[in-house]
Amino acid sequence: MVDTAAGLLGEPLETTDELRYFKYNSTYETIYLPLIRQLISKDLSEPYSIYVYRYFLYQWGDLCFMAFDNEDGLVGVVVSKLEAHRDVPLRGYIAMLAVREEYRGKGIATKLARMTIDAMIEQNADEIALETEVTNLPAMKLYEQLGFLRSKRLHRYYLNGNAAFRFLLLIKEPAAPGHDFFDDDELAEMKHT
Amino acid sequence: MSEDLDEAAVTNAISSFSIANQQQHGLSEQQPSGVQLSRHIVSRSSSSKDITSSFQQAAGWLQTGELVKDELFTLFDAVAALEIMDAKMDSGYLEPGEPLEDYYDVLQPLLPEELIGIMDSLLCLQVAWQIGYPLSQTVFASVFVENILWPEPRTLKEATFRSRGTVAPNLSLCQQILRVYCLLLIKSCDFIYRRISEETYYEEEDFFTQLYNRPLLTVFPSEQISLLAVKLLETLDTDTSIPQVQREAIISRLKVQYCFLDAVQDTLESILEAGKPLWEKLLDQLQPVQDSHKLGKSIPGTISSKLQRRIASSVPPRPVVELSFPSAIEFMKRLCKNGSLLGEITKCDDLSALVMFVSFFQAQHPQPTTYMRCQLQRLILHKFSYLEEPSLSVTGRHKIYEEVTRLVYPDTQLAIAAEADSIGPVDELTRDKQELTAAMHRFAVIVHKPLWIYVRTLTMNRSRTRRMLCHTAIEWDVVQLELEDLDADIRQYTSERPLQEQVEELWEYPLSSWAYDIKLRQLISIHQLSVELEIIHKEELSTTYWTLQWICSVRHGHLQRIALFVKARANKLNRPTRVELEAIQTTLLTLQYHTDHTIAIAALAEGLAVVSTIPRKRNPTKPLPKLYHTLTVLNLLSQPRRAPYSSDSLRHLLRTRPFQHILQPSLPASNQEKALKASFYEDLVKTARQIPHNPPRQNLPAHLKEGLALLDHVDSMIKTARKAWDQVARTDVSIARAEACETAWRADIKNIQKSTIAAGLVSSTVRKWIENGAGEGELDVQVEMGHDAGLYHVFWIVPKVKRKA
Repeated sequence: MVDTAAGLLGEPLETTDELRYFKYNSTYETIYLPLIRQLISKDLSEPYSIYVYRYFLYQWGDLCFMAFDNEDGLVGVVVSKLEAHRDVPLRGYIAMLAVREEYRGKGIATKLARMTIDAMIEQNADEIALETEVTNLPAMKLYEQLGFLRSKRLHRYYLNGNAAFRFLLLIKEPAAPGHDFFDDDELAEMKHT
Repeated sequence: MSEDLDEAAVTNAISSFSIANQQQHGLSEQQPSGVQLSRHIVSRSSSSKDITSSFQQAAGWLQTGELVKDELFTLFDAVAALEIMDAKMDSGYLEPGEPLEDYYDVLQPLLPEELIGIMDSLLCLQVAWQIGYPLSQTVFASVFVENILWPEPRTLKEATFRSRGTVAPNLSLCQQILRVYCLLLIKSCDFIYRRISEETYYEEEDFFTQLYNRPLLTVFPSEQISLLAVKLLETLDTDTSIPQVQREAIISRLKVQYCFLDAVQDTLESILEAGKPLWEKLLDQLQPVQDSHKLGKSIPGTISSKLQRRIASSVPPRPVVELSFPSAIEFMKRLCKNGSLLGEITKCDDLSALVMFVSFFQAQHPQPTTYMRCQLQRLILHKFSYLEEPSLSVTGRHKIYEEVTRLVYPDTQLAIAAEADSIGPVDELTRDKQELTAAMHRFAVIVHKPLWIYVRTLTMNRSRTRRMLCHTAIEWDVVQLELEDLDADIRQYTSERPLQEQVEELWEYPLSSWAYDIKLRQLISIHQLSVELEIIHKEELSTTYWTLQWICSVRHGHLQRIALFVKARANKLNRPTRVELEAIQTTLLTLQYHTDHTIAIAALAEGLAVVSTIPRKRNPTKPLPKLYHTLTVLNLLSQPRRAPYSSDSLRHLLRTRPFQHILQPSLPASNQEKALKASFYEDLVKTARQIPHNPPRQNLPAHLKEGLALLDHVDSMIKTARKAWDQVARTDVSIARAEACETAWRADIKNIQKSTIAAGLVSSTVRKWIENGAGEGELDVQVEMGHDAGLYHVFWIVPKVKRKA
């Protein structure tokens, strides 16, 4: 755990007995980024380089939310993006969501997912997508409870050979038909385990 | 502070590109640009400038973490970036004291039990590769394979074990066996690799084509390698240096690789004529290998992930894929079974039969591997070569038109025109005939490619088949539209008269009717695959089955419409020939088969749409109110899921999005669907109210009466489904076009029949609960639903309802 001076983290968005929730702030990149990387790479066998994190955080830092415990330890984080995708004017994409093992089952992941979804909705998102491994039951349950539907199954999507489900959440009714249902280019986008 | 550090690092990095270094390497003249090269590059057309300080200054303006990228920099580029000094990204990174490579002397003495262990671990690697992992993490992780393949052997003799670059003068018997075992294995990989990569169609997610500059003994004829094996097997027959039990185990392993190579080096003829015995022979050899696995002893160090450093890969070594021996054997057995089945394709005389065969071949669980699916495609193109012809031959036209005849039996003039060789000059007398011929040629052109794409779609991996079917359904929607125009055109040359149905005039639309049916079948498949692939969540099953039932009812209406015209044509035939009579008979039986099949699906789907609302209860200790909730509010009326970010109509929109471009049938919109379900429910309530005299129900509260009426409806659906599936099962196999896959076809029906019976049981169990005084206390109900609860058929998720112990 990195020791950060109290106050350096800025003002929390929300506080509970145990936790404080923050929106990512690039001013504190040097504090946040190592913590985020450490937390996320724990769950990945294929690590992302620092560029991947910066790719998201620099462009869509306002969609990244973090939960800290009372000792300034990072407990959970969500990283997302929001941009045009084919015929969809603004499609959100939840790229990474991680919660420290001992803090799981307390609704922190749901809270973080909701924060990033709310931020995307505020920015006028049309829909939100993400992928999970077909074996990741807790993640699937989390997103399904929020209203996501499985839209596709992607065969051998991850490097470990596992298949993925693509989840989608429509936020708005499309103004006119023309949304492209087929978006397999994302296959290339996020292959990780 | 860290910003300062970063700047220092940049300065250091820049200074390390010193001019001294470049001069030392003689690069100064070739280097097109560089930090301090300006002093050396002087020409009339260009001038150079030292930008070091400007660069440092500019970099100083950036915040740490600030991303400098152009418009074209994608997430993919970001993911592809590597970070130096990270063990998982830097291929040269080593922990302190860690060697760059593991060393294993392949020429160290080898005991028979060690040989057996190595052979079995090689088999696991070989299978893992076929499943879809890269060679680098499977076969190429074996030190023996690497030793044989690198340096690249120029002769077969050189394809042997070397110690520190020198070919071993004499190999022990065990080492000789291992060498030949490896050669057989590598050569079989060569055939599989070439088969898959030569095939015009496979998906990147199915198979890695990277060979890492290690040819798989491609230049050496397989006969030579097989001969080595034969000789070795002869030696082993008489050799007594290895104890008998171990010898037999070794022989059976050699034979597995020998037979496998034999089976994969097939020519088309060999698959079609002799493929089955080859795979059966291999299957026979697998059992003794499985039984003797315990004789083997594993040797550490013979498989190394670090070998990946040698094979021209810039990424750090990834873990070797660990597949258990039983899974590997299981895989090989399945491969044999799939391989033996392939030759059956010769029994497919037409496209209907082919689609049946491919569908059942692909429906096997787990799905046949990429290699087998490539073989399937190869055979399809061999037997149905017209599918891929650049311009359709007469035979092709004939075969395609046969399909139309089988389903819709149009005016015989169309058949004559379809098969007419050329259009020829048009004159007054033959004008109609010529125009008709031209129209029928146009027909063949319109459907030719879509047919091939449809068949090909069925050969892909299941997930992709489902996604591609969403495309093909749209394509066939367009085909149907074009054919409707053509049908209308054709009328003027055939003098078709419409049928009078009450006040309505009905035109036949034979060609587009046929296309419409293909599209409806695709829509049915999409929904069934969605269930199979678990894309449909348990809570959505009811809606999905409802939609499936809806599509089937559309298809049912369509088939009846076709039958109407066929029967009218049959009645009009004046002294029909025997051939005509037979053809009409075939069409009527075919229509009957499809009708039965459609009713069977529709009824079971409707039954399950209602039944699968039952497990909607969330609190198992208080099932009654939830049951009540289910039966009254019903999922049929609305989705009770309270998802914060979604709504019924948005979910409906998302689910129907793949079909929004399809004009016919147009799936009901969310509110239409709700209205349909509401009227269904109203009818049900009405029925419930009409049965107050039924003694067991007399005293029940209204909602339970409604519940029972609902179960009555389920029962009647299940009864219809059972009858229809029985009818389907009784269909002549030639009418079902299932000659090439009869066993699978029959087994499939049987499994669905079991699902139907199970669905009926759910209904009767719930009925008993309600009738036995459910209104008074709590019900001890336990409901399981989903693939993990066990299914008779993957298309049909029947809930399991048990009383709690």
